[in-house]
Amino acid sequence: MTQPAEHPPLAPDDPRISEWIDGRLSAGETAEIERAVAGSPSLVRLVADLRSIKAAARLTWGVSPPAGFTERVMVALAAGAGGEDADRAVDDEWRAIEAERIAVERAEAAVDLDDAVQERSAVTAVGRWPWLALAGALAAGLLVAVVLDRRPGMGRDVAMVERAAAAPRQRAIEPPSSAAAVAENRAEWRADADPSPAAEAKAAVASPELERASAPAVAPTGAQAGPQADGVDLSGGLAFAAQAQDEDFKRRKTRGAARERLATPGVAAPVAPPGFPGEAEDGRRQQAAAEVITVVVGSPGERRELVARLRGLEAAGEVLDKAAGVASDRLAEGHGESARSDGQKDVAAAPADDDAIVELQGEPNAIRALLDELRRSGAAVDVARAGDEPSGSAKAAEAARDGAATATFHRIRIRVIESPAAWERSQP
Amino acid sequence: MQPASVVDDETTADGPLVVRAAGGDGSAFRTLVDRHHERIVSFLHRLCGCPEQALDLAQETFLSAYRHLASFRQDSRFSTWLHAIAVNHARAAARRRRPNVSLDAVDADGERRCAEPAAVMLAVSAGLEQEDLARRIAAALDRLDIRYREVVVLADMQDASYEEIAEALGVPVGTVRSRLHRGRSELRSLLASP
Repeated sequence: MTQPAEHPPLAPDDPRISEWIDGRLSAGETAEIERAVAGSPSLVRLVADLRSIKAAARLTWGVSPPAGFTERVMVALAAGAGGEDADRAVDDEWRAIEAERIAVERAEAAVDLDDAVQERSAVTAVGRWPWLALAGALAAGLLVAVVLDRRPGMGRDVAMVERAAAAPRQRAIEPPSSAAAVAENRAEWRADADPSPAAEAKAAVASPELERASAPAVAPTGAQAGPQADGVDLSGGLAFAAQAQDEDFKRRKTRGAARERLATPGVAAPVAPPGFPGEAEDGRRQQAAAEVITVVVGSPGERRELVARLRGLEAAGEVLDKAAGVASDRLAEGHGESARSDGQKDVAAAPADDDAIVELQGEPNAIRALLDELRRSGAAVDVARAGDEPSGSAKAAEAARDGAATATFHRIRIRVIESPAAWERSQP
Repeated sequence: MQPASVVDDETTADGPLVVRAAGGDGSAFRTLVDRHHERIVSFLHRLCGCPEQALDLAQETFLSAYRHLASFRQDSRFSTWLHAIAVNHARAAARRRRPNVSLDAVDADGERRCAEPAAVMLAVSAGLEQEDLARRIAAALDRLDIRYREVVVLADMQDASYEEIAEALGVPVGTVRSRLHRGRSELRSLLASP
């Protein structure tokens, strides 16, 4: 078991900052935030500004109702103003607003997808596919070699790979068990931090994950994977946070374009299907593959504890954003299984001798907060090692699969593997 | 939405009035309007930025509340329920006003959502610096995305708890957390911009 990762610096968009200002954090969390803020002059300024804004906001007071307002209401009531018809009209308007909101979100997702495709098309064509092809060829070769010379004690790892390889044929939601997929995602993530084509090409070429993608879990080299030994930069999440404002600006720009498009006379807003974005019209969840964003290593006991904790977070409604289109039943939990078609969690899943995958979807801040929580957890010590932020292209691809409905959210799959050795053997 | 002890007392006092009003007792409903209308009008003013419209929407809010009193199960505070109705009326009104433009588009363009400028008054005598900041906040609020504005107004101006905001807006507490911090941060950016 590796040692817990060092607590990352606090991102300025971490909602705990406001919670701290509002006095909602526990003593432990308060101390943690205080330490983080004290160590960052920019955070000190941010907190001071937010405190001033909060204090000044309290000084404002809306218009006072004129004398006789109550009488005016009672007269209107007696006159039968509005009535049930008026309420129905408001209800209809409210439904229209919701439909418009969903349409705008879908349009925003489509714009995000367009941008992502345009930005990456050139690099993808010349920089990524050759490496992926090479990785695939190497993976096939090594798989054959391992099958011919299978070593004792590797049964579980091979079984996991085989299960993963068979998964697309068996499951509605593809389990992200391939190291190549993880590696590609990480490379994209790095490229997102520096969106220039040169940087992305560099990330694709230099990525050790891509280079060893041919040996997902069956080529032990004896090398022990420390917190950063697998080539994942622990500061990646921090770089993501540091760029949050730039990304936010870009996102707003694209959203503005989407809204303009919707607001243009003659351009009809797309008709939103019933239910939340990401739900099919028949109420079932759309078939969307999720990325492996985080891999957590733990003993069986730790694994059960972590899964229980994740369930607890969901049950508390702290992670998923229902109003923004993520229903609580979107959390799929099980031993590599996807969400049940009826949207209910299968609590009895995840036997102790198998790996478990927990899928979460929510607002980026909520997901980030969850990952921070996991980093602080002794049972989830390798969260940081595996990377913690979905890439923009991953989101875009996800949006494409989801009917461009969820690109404004992050979806992560936290794979909880029973044995630390299983993970470590998969690392060169 | 007031400090907990006040609200608890208020809830206790509201309960019987709600029951009586739901049974058709006009005087009980009058008392409820008397008790809550200032906060609802103030809330709507901050939300929509227009005093006249705030009064109209407040009246609609109370009329809707009266007609749906039977559906109020008293598992939440009456004031929270009123705020939820008010939010819906404000959103619907904003859409009626500009049927072809989304709420956010109007905000993004920085256009006034009312013919008259938002006149948010100061509640107490404050120092010049704070008074100036409060006025700028009132103006910046007008340009804040409606999703964040709702949360910021409820939290920082109406003294609502995260849980009350979640209930009023129909979103999880986690969403309130993120939207509040985002809203405050955006207010900060708006105040910093010329």
